[in-house]
Amino acid sequence: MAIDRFPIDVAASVIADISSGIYRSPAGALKELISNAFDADASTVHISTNGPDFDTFTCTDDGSGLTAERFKEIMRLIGGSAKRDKGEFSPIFKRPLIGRIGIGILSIGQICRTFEIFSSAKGSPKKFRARIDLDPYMRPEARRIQLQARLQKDAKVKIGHFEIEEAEEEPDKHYTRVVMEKIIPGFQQQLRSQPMLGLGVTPKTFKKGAMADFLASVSRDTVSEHGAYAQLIWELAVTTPIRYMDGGPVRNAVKLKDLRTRMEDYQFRVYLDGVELYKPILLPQGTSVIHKVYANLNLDKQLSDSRALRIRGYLYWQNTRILPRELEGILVRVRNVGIGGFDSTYLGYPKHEGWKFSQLCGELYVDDGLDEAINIDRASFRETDEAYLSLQEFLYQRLGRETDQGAGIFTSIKSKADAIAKRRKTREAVERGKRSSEVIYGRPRQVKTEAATEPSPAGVRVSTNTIQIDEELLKQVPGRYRDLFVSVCAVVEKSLSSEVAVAKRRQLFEKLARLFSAQ
Amino acid sequence: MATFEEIERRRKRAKSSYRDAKKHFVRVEGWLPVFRAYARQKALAVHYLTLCAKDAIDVRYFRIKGVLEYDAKQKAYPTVSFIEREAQDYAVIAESLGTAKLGINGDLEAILIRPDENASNSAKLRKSFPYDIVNLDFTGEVVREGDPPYSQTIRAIEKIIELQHGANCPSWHMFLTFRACPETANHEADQELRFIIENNLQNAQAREAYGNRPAPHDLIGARYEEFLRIGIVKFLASSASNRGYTCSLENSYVYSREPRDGGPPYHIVKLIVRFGVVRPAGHLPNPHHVMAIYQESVPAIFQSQPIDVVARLQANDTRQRILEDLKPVLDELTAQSIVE
Repeated sequence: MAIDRFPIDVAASVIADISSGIYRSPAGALKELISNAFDADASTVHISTNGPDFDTFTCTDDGSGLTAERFKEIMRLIGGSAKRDKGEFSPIFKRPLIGRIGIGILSIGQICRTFEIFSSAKGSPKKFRARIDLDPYMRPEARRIQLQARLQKDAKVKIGHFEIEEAEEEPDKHYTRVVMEKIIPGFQQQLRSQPMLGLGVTPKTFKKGAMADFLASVSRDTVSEHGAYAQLIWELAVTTPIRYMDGGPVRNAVKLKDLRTRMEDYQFRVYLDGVELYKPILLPQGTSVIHKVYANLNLDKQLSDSRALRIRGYLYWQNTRILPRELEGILVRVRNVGIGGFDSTYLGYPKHEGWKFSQLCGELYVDDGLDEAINIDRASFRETDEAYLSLQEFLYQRLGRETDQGAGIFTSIKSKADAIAKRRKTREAVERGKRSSEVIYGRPRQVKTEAATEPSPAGVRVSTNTIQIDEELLKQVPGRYRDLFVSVCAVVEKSLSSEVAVAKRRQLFEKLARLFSAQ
Repeated sequence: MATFEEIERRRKRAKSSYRDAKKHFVRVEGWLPVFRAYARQKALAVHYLTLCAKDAIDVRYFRIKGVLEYDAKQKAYPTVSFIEREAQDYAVIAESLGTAKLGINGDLEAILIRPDENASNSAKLRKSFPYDIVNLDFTGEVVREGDPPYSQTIRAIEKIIELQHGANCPSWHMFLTFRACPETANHEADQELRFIIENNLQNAQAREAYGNRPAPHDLIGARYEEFLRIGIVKFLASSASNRGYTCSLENSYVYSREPRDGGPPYHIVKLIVRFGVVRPAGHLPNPHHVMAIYQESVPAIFQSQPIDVVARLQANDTRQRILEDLKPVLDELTAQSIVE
């Protein structure tokens, strides 16, 4: 019997689609430009969104820059360069390189279809301007071009074209500037949209000043209810390798000092519309909050394929809900860059832990071993990768079984929460008792105690508002028992004064004083 | 379309001129008092449209002088709109100023004259009117060589007056800066201006106000900057009267420049012009009234004399005082981490 064979083909536009749609959100795309700047040893990155219109974006870094030749190389074969061929660290600040396969430039296609790049490399007397147009390759006719037909001629697929011009530049200048125009309408609309009614935060007053003000605004519930711009700030601030807010991530947590200084040592600053971004993590949230830091979530493990998995992290728990809700969960940072956001499922933790999930957050800095597991969007992981599975197992173990104290973190949280609940119950019971006795007997009268310098016949005198006790008697009683001694004396004097002789009462009080002094 | 090399040369040339004493003299003596008056009147909410160039010295200067609304926490200038043609310079302004009322990366003339080709920018700009002060600091000529006399720049200026009127702006100021260089001038436009001036001089009052200046034809050769100064103000007065405004020249400044790259020397002319509404928006113009307003303004224009900035800077310690006044702005520019 004859078997018919047919080729399976895809349109070349699939590659263009992939190229323009790999990043989940505009922040994800801007994050890539920031990562490129970080790798290029930039000290500052300035991003402008031209809000409240949001129709032109710019991003400028003072990193090592590119020459026209290098840019052409990159653009002629996106994804064909290996950034880490010359080493794992940046030459000046010794930052661990984030980029790996050289597709960061494509991130701009997520925001707009045409853009200009200006760059000058350190030491070069030239700068270049390149205009990149991805538009023709996003049109419907591009879908009819068969990928296989292209691949038979050449192993590359065209996803856009660019024009490049050079001009003179001072050799000591080095930078890369991207100007993105004709921002994708949906994205613009999203940013311009009013947030939920009633919050009083409009796109024009989105920032509420510096990062601390922003955090105070969004910490009432969620970031998302403050609109897309607030979300953009949040995502950039959370995921990029910038410094923590003063005192962050956890105030006075000496054991987390290394994470704070690690970010400071990189000397990397990002500004969005003129405002400097910091990691918006500043815990505990409020002075009356009871909290605990699990500071040693560290792992150094050799994987079967000779990769080493190195993790440094922490978890933080507090007895109230963590806000904004976007901060609940665990954030995995690969080479200091957040992959996605805080994951409130704890990498799919298999058991239901109810309220504990909402009181817990943390970060895992993975310095080695997890690169291969990151999906192309750099916002999620390939969940079957060995390193990812090891990370997952490590986290589950820490949460469920082992901790610094030998019990699972969830168990530790449970006992801590139980202790707090028990203390609260006791306090409430005492309060309730006090309130009941007040209802039955009325409010206790305020009685003054006085040490009498002039001795009285019985040694104790009780009137409506005063208890007078001879100084000689009072001196014998240690301070901590004085209140009790005074109370006992007052009761005895009040109840026996009409039945027992003065001398006998005095003997009794002296005996009592001796008893208390012997304690 | 200009090549990258040409754009870069122009940017480099422009940079040094923004920071010199001559230019700052006009900011201090001419622009600042106007700003102060509006700031007092409007509690700092002075709506300001500017072609501020990448250093945005005017914006920074007025902020430092406390006559412009600024939210330091949000890094926002809620009443400032800026337009910049070069993408690189637009980025520098946007990144260094923070948030503004409006920022446009585009060509002002193209946006105003060809709205169909610049639909989004045009809609944004139109919506942003009215302004209290419009600062049109053109780096070149009002009518460039090769342009028709009724040039794009001239038409753009008229469009701005029209938009101000359409937005019911009762009173506002325009700061207009342009270059006067006989070598690169548009001679056809000069001849048209000359005919208009000569026509004005038929009137005895205007002739008397014109004084002992050389005849218009000779004025072109003898003092081209003066010829353009009165010619352009007269154009503004005519245009304003047709669009429902009176126009009065409050001050004008002239100074010379000699390009370092060997180009011909030229003058910079700076005008401070006040517009006051005479006909509310939506009302029909009365041709007799329009003509009367224009003719009344002509003698005052001919009587006006420009302030010689170079001469004024030589007096006592003026130059030193002006440069010291500029220092905080230059310090701020040095301190900022924006790549230029």
